[in-house]
Amino acid sequence: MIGAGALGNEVVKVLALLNVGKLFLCDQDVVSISNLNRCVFFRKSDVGRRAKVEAVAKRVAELPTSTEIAVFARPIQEAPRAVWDVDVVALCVDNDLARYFVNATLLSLPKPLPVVNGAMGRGFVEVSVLVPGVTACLCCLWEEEYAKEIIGRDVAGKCDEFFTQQVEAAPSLATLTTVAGGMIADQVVKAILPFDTAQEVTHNSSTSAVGRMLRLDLDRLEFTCGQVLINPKCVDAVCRRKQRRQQSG
Amino acid sequence: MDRKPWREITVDVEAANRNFRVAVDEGTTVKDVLDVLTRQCQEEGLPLSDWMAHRVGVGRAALVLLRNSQGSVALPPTTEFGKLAPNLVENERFSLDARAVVG
Repeated sequence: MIGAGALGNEVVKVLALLNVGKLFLCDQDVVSISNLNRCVFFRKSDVGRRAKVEAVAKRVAELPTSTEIAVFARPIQEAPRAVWDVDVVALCVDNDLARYFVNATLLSLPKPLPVVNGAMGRGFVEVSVLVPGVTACLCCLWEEEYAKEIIGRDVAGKCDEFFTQQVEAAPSLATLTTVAGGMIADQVVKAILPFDTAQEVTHNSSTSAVGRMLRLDLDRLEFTCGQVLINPKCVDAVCRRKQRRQQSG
Repeated sequence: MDRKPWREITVDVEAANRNFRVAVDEGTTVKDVLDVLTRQCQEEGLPLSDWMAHRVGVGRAALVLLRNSQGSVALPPTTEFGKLAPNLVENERFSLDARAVVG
């Protein structure tokens, strides 16, 4: 799992209550006061003192769960190899620069690895289930200018800005956190269960979210789950190369 | 003499609170349409950045064009309308939206 903020808290909560085997959790940030209104594992006593991942691990230990949790309080770029030696990645970050880095890492792995990427707007949540190098990658929908802008700018503080300035105007944000976290956890579970078991659990044999973007819009009362088309001219050169290899092989 | 466009599409643009009819050729890309709509909204005094700040909570996010008739398929910016499968039909409907960023 990458990111131990609002969505990360929710995803860990669900997966731990389901007794998922082992979680690797990576996030470099320390708990701040603005996190407390939506992060179930954080306490006032953590603010400014405890890394988010450590706070999560401490509170997970209080749950009735057999889930093991290994934490890494460091940037994604410095995450140990073990973080990528997993069945599925849950991506719960607060900016697209982090998504860019994670995408590049996933594309560099010898074996395709599914990623469940979640984020929320003021009145909607978005969860995509992708296997970079096989399906569209996390950057296939980006314009080149957007990618350049994201890579070139400082994105620190965006999450705090979002939650401190928007919560009052959009009181559903705490609800959205729970909804998005639940949707991500649901897709993670489907990715790690054997296919037959997943069908039995979901009572559904025909739907798969792989390669799709699920969007639940509570403002418009809409749910969509459209495919994300692969971009042959993706901003990520490795994605382009892997597509060409797939087509020729 | 004006040439008849290959197809005309209808794009729902929440930022402007209305639909736009956009003429496209087979080689027109999604990015071309996004650029036209961005420019048009700006000219109408409804900059997409303001709408994005309201919709997504941040001033800068990736835009996406969704193909409504195919279950909201998300189209990459380099997609050419002439290469869509199934084929584009006249007056087909699309939606312009912003991607969520914050997790």
